[in-house]
Amino acid sequence: MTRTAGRSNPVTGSTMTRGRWIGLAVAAAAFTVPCVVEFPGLSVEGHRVFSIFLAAVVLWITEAVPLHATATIIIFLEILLVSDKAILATPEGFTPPSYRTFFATLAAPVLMLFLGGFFLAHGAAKFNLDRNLARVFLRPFGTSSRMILLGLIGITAVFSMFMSNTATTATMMAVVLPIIAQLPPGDRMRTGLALSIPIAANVGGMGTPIGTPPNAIAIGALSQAGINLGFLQWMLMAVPFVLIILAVVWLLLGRFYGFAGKTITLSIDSTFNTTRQAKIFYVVFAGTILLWLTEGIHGMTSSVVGFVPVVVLLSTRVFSSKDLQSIQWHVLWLVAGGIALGVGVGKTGLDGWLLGLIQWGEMSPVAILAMLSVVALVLSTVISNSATANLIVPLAMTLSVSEGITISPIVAAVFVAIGSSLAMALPISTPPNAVAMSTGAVRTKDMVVIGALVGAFGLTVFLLFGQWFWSAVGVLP
Amino acid sequence: MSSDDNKATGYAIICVDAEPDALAALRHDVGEFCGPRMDVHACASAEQALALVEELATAGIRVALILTEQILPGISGVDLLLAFRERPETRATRKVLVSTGMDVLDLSRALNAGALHRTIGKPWTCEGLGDCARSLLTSFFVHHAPHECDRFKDLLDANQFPRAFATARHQQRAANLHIKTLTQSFLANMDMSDEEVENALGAGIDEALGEPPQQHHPAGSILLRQGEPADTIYVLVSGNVQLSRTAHGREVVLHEHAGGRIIGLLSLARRQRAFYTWRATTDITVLPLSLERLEAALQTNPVLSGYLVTSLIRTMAARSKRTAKLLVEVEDLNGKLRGERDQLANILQLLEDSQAQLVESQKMATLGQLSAGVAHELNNPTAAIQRAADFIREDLGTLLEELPDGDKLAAAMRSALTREPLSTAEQRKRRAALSRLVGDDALAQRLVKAGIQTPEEYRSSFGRSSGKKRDRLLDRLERYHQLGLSLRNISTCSKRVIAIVDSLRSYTRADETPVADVNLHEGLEGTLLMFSHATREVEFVKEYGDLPPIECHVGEINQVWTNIVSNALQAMHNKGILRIETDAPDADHVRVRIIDNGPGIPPEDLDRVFDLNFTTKQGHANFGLGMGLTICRQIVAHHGGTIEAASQPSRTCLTVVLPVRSQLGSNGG
Amino acid sequence: MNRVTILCVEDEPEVRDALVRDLDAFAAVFRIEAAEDAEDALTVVQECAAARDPIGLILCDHMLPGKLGADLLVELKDKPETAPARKVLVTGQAGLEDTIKAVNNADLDHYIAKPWTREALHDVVRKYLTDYVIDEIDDLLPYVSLLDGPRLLEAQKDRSPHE
Repeated sequence: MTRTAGRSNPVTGSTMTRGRWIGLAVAAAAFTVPCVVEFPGLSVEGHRVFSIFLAAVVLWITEAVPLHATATIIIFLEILLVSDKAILATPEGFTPPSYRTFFATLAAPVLMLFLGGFFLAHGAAKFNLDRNLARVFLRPFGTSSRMILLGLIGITAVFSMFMSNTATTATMMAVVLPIIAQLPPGDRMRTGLALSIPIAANVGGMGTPIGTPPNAIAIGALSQAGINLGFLQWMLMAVPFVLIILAVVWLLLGRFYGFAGKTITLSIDSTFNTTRQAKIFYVVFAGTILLWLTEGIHGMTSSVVGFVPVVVLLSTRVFSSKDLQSIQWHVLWLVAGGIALGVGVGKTGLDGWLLGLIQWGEMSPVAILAMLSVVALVLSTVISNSATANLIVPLAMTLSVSEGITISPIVAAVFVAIGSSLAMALPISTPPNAVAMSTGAVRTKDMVVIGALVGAFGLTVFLLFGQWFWSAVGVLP
Repeated sequence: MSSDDNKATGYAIICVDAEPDALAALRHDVGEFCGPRMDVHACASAEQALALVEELATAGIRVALILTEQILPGISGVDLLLAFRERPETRATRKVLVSTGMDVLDLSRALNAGALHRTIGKPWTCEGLGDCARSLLTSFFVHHAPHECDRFKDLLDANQFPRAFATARHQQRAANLHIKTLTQSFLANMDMSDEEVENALGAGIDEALGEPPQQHHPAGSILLRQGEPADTIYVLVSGNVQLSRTAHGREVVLHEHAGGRIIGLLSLARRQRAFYTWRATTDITVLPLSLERLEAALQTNPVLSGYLVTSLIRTMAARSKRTAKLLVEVEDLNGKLRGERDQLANILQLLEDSQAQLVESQKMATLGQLSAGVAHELNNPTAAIQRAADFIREDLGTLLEELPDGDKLAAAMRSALTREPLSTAEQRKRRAALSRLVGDDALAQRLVKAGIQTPEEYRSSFGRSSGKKRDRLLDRLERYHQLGLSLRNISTCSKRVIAIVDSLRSYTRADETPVADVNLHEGLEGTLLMFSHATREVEFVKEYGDLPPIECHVGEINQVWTNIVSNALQAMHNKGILRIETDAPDADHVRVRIIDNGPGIPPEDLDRVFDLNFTTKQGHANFGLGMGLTICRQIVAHHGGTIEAASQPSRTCLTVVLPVRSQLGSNGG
Repeated sequence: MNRVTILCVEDEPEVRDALVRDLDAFAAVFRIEAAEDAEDALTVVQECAAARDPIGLILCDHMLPGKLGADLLVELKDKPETAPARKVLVTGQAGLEDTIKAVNNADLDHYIAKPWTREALHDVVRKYLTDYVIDEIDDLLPYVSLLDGPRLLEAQKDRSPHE
C-alpha cells in the first residue's frame, strides 16, 4: 500500500511552541548583553564572540531551534562578525581569521572519521548485521538470567562503540522487549533488563572515537591545537575504564533487580544476509576497524581511514545515493558548530578572558579536572551531550595550556568528553534513556538512582586512575 | 488499399472483393504465392480499383493481374474487367473472375470481349490459385514484358517458356486465322442441342483421328482424381460420370449427370490440376485424348473448335446453374438452422427462467422452515439472558447499600440504566464542557465514562474533593457506571433479539388458517411500534377511516406493512413525514395507503420495485425484510387484493387494496 | 494536545459502547472518538483537525444509516485529514463486492467480522496504529509500550539524535 510518506504531522513538533519562542527571545537577549555591557579586559572581537557564545548556550540548553541549526547559526554569525568577510569593521590590531576557516569546520577531518563510523553503522542496520551479531554473541551466554544480563551489557557496549548509542539501544531493546513481555508484570527483572541496555550503550559509547559525538568534538579540538589522538590510543585510554564500569553495572543490576537463580530464553530470529553486497560490506566493516586499530603500523590517521568505507561502499554501489541521504549529516554539522565555536573563542581571546574570571592557579590539577568533568556531567544531564562538549571542550583546552597549570590538553579534552557521556540520570539525559523509558518497564526513580550511581562511580574511577594509567600505557608524554 | 513502395517491383496485382474476409484471404493467398516480388493491392470495390489503376499508372507501375469478385457494389466484376480491357495501360493485364455467383451472360460478355482469362470458384485452394496466377503471369510476361521474364522467373512456369516463346508469333497468326472459323462455327452451333453438339464433336474427333481406341471402365472407377495433373481429356461415349470434390476432409458430390460428355477439358485448358474427381457411376466407355491428339484433331478439322467451345460453354453453363442451385439450397438450409437455433435459445431462456423461479420459491420455503426453527430455538436463551440481566441488577442494588458511598455508586449505575442514550455529538459536547471545567481532557473523558456529564453532576459527586481522593472515587464510579451500561445493553439487545424472533414468527405464520374479523389498524399500529426505535426523526401522520373487519392471515398482512414501512423509512433516511391513510372504497374492499416524502423512485425503476432482488437500498438485507415488496405482492395477491406503487419526488405512495371477504378459504392456505 | 485519534463509526449504541470499551487499553496514549453515522464522523474529523489531533485509525461499521461504511471510507480516503489514516471495516454484513470496493478505492486495510474478540481487535489496532505512527509520526517512543515495541524501536533507530 502506498501512502504519502511525508512525516509532517502536528505531532512531530515541527511547529514553534510557546516554549520555543521564549527560548529564542532569551537567546536574543543573551546575545545583546555583551553588545550593551562592556566587560573590562575583553577585546571588541571578544565581545562579539561572547555574544555568539551566550546565544549558543541558551539555544543548546532550550533547544528553541534544533541543535544542528544552532551550529549553523554559530558558523554564520562568526563569519558575519569576526572573519575577514565580516560585515562589521574588525578592530585595529586584530587579524581576523579567514571566513574559510569557519566554513572548513563543516569538513573537519574528525567529521570524516565520524562519517566513516556512520557508514559502518548504517550498513550494519541495512544488512541486519547488528541483529545477527547479537544472536551469535548472545548464544554462549546460555539461559541463566545473570549471564544473559552480562551478555546483553557486553554486546550493547561493543555495538555502541561503533554505532550510535541510540541506534544500539533501539536494536538491543527490540531484542529485549519480547523477553520483558514474557515476564510477569511487577517482576523487577523487567526493569533491570530495560535499564541495562541504555546504560551499557552510554558507557560503551566512550570506548572509541566514533562511539559518540563528544569524543569527536574532543578529538577535533585537539587536532585544531595540532595534537593527533589516534583511534587505538583513544581505545587504550577508554576501554579499560569502560570494562570496569560495565562490570560494576552488571553486579549492581544483577543484585538489585532479582536476577539471581532465574532462567531466560532468548530467541532472536534473523539470518545472515549473504548477498554479494552484504559480503562486500562485511569485508569493508572488518577492514575499516582493522585499519583504525593498526594506525601505528600504516600511519594513516583515523580520519583518513574513516573515509575508506565511504569511498569503497559508494564506488562498489553497496550504498546508493539513498543510503547517502539517510546518513545523519546533522550530527556532523552539530560537531562542526562546536569546532567553529572553539575556533572563534580561541582566536578572539575570549577563552583567556573567561578563564581569567576564576583563580585556577590555586587549584590542584585533579581539582580542576574534577570541576571540568563534573560541570560537563551536570550540564549534559539536562542538555545534549554533544552540546555540552561543544561548549566546554574549548574552554578546557585553553585552560590546560594556560600559565601555571600542568594538565595535558588531551586529558582535559577527554575528561570533558567522558563527563558528558557519563550523564545518564534522567530520562532526558540521553536518547537511549528515553528509549528505555518508552518501554514502560522502567520508572524514573530507578533510572535516577542507577544512572547517578554509575555516573558518580565512573567519574571517580577516571579521576583517581586516569592520568596514572594513561601515563603508564604511554599515551601521555 | 496498400500504398507500399511500388517502385521496387514495377508490377502489381490487384484483388477486388466487397467482402472484407474474402478480400483479406484472397490478398493473403496471392501474396503467399508471389511473396515480396510483386505488390498486391486489395480493393473493396471496382471504383477503388479503377482509382488505384490511375494512381499506379502515374507511378509507372503496370498491373500484371487482377482478380475480382463478380458481385460488387456499384460496378460489377465483369464490368470492371471490361473497363480494364478498355484502358490501354491495363489491356494486357491478366483478368480473373473469382466468384461464386457467375452467370453465363456475364461470363460470355467478358470472355467475348477478351476481358477474361480465368475464373476461379469460391472457395479456392491456395494451390489452385497459385497455379492460375503462375500460368497467367507467365503469359503476361512472355507476351508483354519478355525482358522481365528472367527477373520474375521464380514466379513463372518455365515449362511454358520455350514453347510460348517459340510459338507466340506462330500462334498469333494461327489464332487470327482460326478466330474467323471459330466465330462462324460457334454461331452456327447455337441452335444445336447439347447431344447434337457432343455427337458432332465425337464424330468429328473420330473422323479426324481415324477411330481412336476406346477404353472401358467399370462402375466406381476413377478417371481423374482431384489435384492430379490433367494431361488427358476423355470424351464420354456411353455411361454416366459423377463429379465430386473433397473439401474440409469431406467428399461432396457436385454434379451427377451434369458433367457433360467431355471430361477434364477445363483443367487441361487452364493447365491446372484436376479440380474435380471424376468417378464412373455405371460401366462407361470413354475416348481418351491427349492434348497433342486433340490439337491434331483441331488442326485437321477447324470446325471442331466451334463444337469444342460450344460444348465447353454449355458444360460450364450447366455446372454454373447447378452451383447456383446448390447455393440457394445451402442458403435455405442455413436459414432453417438459424430459425431452429433461435427457437432453442428461446426454450433455454424459458427453462432458465423457470428454474430460477423454482429455486427462488424453494429458497423461500426453506427460509420459512429455517427461520421458524431458529426463532423457536432463540427464544429460550434470549429469555434467560433477559431475566439474568434483571437479577444482576436487583442483587447489585442490594449489595451496593452495604458499601461506603453506596448511594453514589448506585446512582452512577442507575444513571446508566435509565438515562436516555445521548448522540455521540452530544456526548462530545458535554465532554468538552467538562474538560473546560476540570481543565483536563483525559479526566473529562473518564468523568463521562463514570456517568458524570454536567458540571452540576460533577459538583454533587465530588464536592470540593480533588487529587487522590477524587481519583479513587472516580475510579469506582466509572466501574459501576460501566456495569450499569453493560446491563442495559444486555437488556436492550435481548429485547431486540426477541423483536427479531417475533417478526420472523409472523413471517412464517403463512400456513395458519385465515382469521376473520381482523382490525387492520391494530396491525398497522403494531408495525409502527416495531420501528419506533429507529424513527425518532420521523413524523407519523395517520388518517384512519372507518374500516370493516376483514378476513386475512394477520401475520402475512403485518409482514406486508412491515416491508412497506421499512422500505419507506429507508428511502427517507429515517427522517421526514410518513402518512398512513386508510379507507373503504366500497363495501367489499378496504384500502391502505402508505406515503413517504423521500426522494421518490425514478419512473424507469417503478415497474421493477415488485421484482425479486430489486432494491434501492444497495444490498441492505435485513433478515425477513430483504425480499421486500416481492413478498408483499405475493401475500396481497394470495389474499385476492392488489398492490400498486406510484411515485414522484417527495411523494411515493404504496396502495394496498384488500377484499373484505378473502378467497383464501376456497384456494386453501 | 496532538494525540493520535482512533475513530469508531458505529450506529448501534450498544455495539459502539462495547467497541469503545474494548479500546480502553489504548486510551492512555490515543484519543478515542465515537461517531454514530457518516455525518457525525465527518464532524469528528473536523473537530480533530481543529485540535490538531491527527486521525490514525478508523474502525467503521458497514451498515450505517443512510450510507455504507465502505462508501464512507472511500470518502474519508479522499480527505487530506483522513487520507493517511488506516481503515478497518468492522462488520457482520459487508458482502464480497462492497469489501472489494473498499479495498480498491478506500485502501481498506483490514476487515473485522462481528462478533469480535478483544484479542483480535487489539492485534489489528496495534498492527495498524504501528504502521500509521511509523509512517506519519516522527517520535515513536511514546508508542513503544502500547504498540509493537520492537518494530517501533527498529524504525526509531534512524530518527533519534545520534549520541
